[in-house]
Amino acid sequence: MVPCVVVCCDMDSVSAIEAHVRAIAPAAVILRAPSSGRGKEQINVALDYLDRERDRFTFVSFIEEHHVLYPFYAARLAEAHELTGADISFALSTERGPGDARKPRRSALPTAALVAANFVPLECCLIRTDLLVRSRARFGDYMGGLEEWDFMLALLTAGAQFWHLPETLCEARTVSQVEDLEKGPAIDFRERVLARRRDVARTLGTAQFVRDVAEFDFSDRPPLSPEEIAQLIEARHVFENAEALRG
Amino acid sequence: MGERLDTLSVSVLLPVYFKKAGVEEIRLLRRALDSVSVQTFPAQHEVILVDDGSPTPIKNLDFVNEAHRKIRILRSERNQGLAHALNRGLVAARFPLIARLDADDRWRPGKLEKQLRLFEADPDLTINATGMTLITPQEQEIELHIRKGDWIEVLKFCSELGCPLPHGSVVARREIYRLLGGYPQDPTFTHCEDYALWSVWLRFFKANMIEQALYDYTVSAGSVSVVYAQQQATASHSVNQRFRALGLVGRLPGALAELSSIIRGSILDAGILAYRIWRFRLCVRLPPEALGPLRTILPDRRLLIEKSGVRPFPLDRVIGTCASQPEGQLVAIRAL
Repeated sequence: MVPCVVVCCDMDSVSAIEAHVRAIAPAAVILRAPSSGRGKEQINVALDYLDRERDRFTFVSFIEEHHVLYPFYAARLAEAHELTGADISFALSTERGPGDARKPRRSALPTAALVAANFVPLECCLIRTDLLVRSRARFGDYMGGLEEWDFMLALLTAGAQFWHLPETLCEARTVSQVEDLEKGPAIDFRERVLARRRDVARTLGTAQFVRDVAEFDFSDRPPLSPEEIAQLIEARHVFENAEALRG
Repeated sequence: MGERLDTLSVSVLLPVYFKKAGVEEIRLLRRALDSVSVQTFPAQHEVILVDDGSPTPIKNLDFVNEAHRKIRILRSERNQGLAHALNRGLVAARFPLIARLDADDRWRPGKLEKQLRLFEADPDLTINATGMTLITPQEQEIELHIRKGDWIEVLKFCSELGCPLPHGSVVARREIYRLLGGYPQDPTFTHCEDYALWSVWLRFFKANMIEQALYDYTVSAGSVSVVYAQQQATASHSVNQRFRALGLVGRLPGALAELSSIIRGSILDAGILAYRIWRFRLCVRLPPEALGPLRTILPDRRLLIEKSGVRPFPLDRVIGTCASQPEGQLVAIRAL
């Protein structure tokens, strides 16, 4: 596993971080993102790097400074890839506020329901490099927290096969979002995601939505919440509308 | 060291979190380590002490004496909880058998030797535990817990009563711990991590008990089972319901034996095959007779013979070792 650290700060701090990272992981790749980058857009620097170095890495995963990967994270997700042939394997993540106990984050839904909401935790998925390069997916400018959803939809449009491993392998420590909010208002984010999900629905078709729901094991997760039921219904509508528009 | 002895080498896993490292905590930790040092080890061993973010690093405490020189200390800077600490230890463990112990408990002399003898005699055995004595911190005996020892009785206990294996007495194969992804870190199972893990383990792998109390479990006002009694009971109930619904008691050992004979492998191979088919919903190239025992072992999966579409895995890719079967006698069995 090769850590690729993207830093976004002044040169003095970059040097300090570089020294710190080298002491822990001598093989780490250290990249610098422009300080104008907002939200997850800074990860694009790493994705561009990956484009150039695609032959060196089989899988990619993402971690931010407030995330914790659990000890079997890489082994479990890599095994899921090996045995299922999936492009993206993802597990469950937990969240913990300062001084709080951990609590579960989103539960998984059938893949096609991604058109209604994101349930794939970015910090808890392993993605094949081939797919990332092929899809040319990138994180948009600050999108009010919808960057990850938009990114997953871009991968789905590129034909990604998702596989869910119902095990908890990561933790997201809750931190303040003030920094991002100070960087300015979100721009057209909702429209962009809505357009993206229409593309996905057109590409996959309603038959795929039905197949995904039929094959999904609902017994492997907690009972559906009212919000999740609403998401499944909304997803069906998105597919039906896309089908109707296609005629 | 010969191959036989290598398979009996042991990593002792000891997670420690001292919110406050007082004299009593250190005394009990020293007692736990002393109880390891008086065991007889036929091969190599190590003690992995995982310091789960104690405010005062455990390595700074004065608890080690000459008898404790096999200790490796791993430290997490933040307190991450028991399952995380155990999983860190499992990843770091050097030896094929894992023995669990908690910082305030102790083993009785001769415990490990008796357990290792069982592993040596039975290559299919994956996990063994012993009876236990509940004691006060002042070492007064409160209660004796001895459970019936054979595989079916362990399954029966798990299905009818609750957590079958006293955690601090367990010796188990590292290979299976890792195969299953270690202790579950789902917050639902906090304070019930062991039972949640055994409930998956026992679905696929052979277990037994020694019907003798060889482990002392210290009950105090600060014990997890006292402080989190309600949360533990709720989580245990949910694990128990799921296990019971499978209806495996009395049927599993026979089904695994039948499957092992069909694939010309061991009962351990059969368990690995069944687990991977279950967890990853695999399609595997197998003799058609495998469908029967697999349906018994995996009542919560729909198993069918795949005629087209999905490319099946060859058996050796799923379990690593096995005599190869003639191509013509195989079908693709898929789990949904």
